[in-house]
Amino acid sequence: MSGERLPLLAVEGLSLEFRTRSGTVRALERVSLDVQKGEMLGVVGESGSGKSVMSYAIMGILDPAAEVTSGRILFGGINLLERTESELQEMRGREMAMIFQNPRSALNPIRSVGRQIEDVLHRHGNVRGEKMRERAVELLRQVRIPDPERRFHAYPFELSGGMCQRVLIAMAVAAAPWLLIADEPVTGLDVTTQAVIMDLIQDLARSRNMATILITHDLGLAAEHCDRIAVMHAGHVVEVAGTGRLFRSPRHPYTAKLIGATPRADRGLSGLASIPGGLPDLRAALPPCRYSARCERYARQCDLGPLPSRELAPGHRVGCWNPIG
Amino acid sequence: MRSGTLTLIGRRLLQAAPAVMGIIVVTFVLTRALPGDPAVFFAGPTADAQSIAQIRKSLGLDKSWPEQFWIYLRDLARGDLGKAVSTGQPVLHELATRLPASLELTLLGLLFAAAAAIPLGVLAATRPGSWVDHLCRLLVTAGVSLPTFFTGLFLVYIFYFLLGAAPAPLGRLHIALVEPARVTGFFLIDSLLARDFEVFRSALAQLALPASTLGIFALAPLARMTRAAMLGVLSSDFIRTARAGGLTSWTVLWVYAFRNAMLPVLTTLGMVFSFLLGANVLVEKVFAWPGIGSFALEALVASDYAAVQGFVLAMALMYVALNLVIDVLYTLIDPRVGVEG
Repeated sequence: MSGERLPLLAVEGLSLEFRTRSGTVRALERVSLDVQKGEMLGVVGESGSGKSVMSYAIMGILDPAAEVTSGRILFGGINLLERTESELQEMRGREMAMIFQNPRSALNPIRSVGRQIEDVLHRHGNVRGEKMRERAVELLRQVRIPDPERRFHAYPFELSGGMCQRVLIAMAVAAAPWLLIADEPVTGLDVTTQAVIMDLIQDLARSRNMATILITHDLGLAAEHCDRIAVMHAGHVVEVAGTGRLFRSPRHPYTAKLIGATPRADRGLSGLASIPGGLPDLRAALPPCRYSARCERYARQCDLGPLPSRELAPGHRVGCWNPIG
Repeated sequence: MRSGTLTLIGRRLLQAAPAVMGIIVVTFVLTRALPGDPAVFFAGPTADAQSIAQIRKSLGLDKSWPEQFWIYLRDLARGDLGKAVSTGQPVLHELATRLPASLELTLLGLLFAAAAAIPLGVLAATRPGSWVDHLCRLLVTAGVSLPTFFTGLFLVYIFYFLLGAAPAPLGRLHIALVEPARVTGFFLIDSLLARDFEVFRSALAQLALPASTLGIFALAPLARMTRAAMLGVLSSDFIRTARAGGLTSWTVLWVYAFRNAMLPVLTTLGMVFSFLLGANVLVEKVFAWPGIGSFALEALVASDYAAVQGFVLAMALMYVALNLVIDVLYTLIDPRVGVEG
């Protein structure tokens, strides 16, 4: 992927805080990312690294306690942070959509799944009545739900987790958005279903030329499906590169550790390494590099200036003073 | 779904049967275990032992308890609740004339409470920490801590005595007016059916203060539950999905959040209704309301067995009916109910 074209989505220097009773949580700090049209970008990190918060910021569905302190989110060149709530409401679902973890609780328990798809169609598509119904059934068929006419009337509690995720995907793509954010879409589903759902997302993205951000803690899953991968740690994007390049020559120590901690078929379980330490407390005073306390390559210079963003090769950015290699 | 609802109604009615039987037994025993002898009471202070014994015999109280209970059950099966000794009228007739008065008052009070509490709770939940939220908290505290007879007397003092805006707290209609032709027993409805708007206005004016008194009492638990339920639902995953789909704030709030929050609110509504039936007794006293509560109170003081038993039975049946209605509403709102049960 070349960075020459205007990206569909560009997150530039985004910093975000949560005001809580126990202090200010600096959830994101100068996060920058871009997504090209039609590509699949993986965002990988431990839980608490800020992946989901970033996606909520892009969608504009942040908790009221969250406050963006700097940065821009450009979607098709428009800064989303300057849009009003009603403008964002128009864009959500139609320009960009999102699917979630725990698909069953992500659906309204007392509304039939067909109605929930129709709600999105009613909002964004100019179809009504019988046409809208046909369109919803057609969407259920596209996400490969067997017997869609009957399933239209089903309630979430009558469907399996995998089926519910398909319904969420149908809702997400109902208004043909340019960007789909999939936040841990297969976590909690059984392994066979995981593969089927991921293939479905990938097929839909390809056939519609829809850009996809896959948010996951599973580097292996991202490697399997994504063109590029961004690695996040404690609210920082520490490394971005094409998937092959990232695995061949990771430059950030955290990425290298993460790859070492990912099981692979050609390596026994004994080769698996765990990453020492945990995420720092984001309410406390933090060093410029939030990984420094866990890092083997830590040097004095790491504490001197703000975290750099160094482009070591075209399209390969690292936030580290002392990268590998 | 529809047949499921019918099955549910049938099952609930069957489940209620043992409870109703139990209530019949317990009220029978309790009324007789209470201190006070109705024969002495009705014979009056000047009666001698012979006339008391005569009255006791005429009331059937000289028979043994099992015998009395058997007679009571036999009459009950024929729909005969006995005679209220204090008024000389059959208990069934007393209940039939007084129950609509109480129900009209209670339902209007509940309507008033729901109409105020539910929007207030929703607003408070959507704007936590705002002035609406504080107002909600204030009203909830006030509503809980003010006893109904106090609120009633206070309202009478302000609106009747000081301002003269309300009519005298003396029953269901202005003294000069005639009751509307009886169809439902609810004066508001019957007067409209008879197209007698003067009676309608008077009935409404008489209802305003006692219904408000009950309403203020019922407001607190309803507003509190609505707020809590809305807060819970608004932070759930499917609301986030709805917002991510770009649905309008109105749709998210009312179609997605409110309908889900209605489930616990409905349960509370049922509970509040049964509380109100109890709170009625004092409010009816304050407003000289010819309802079932004041009737029961007088009957209890007079140890009027048949009347007390009839009252408790009527209440129990109403409670069963109320729970049935709530259950049916539940199945209409929540597709999961009835499948699990």
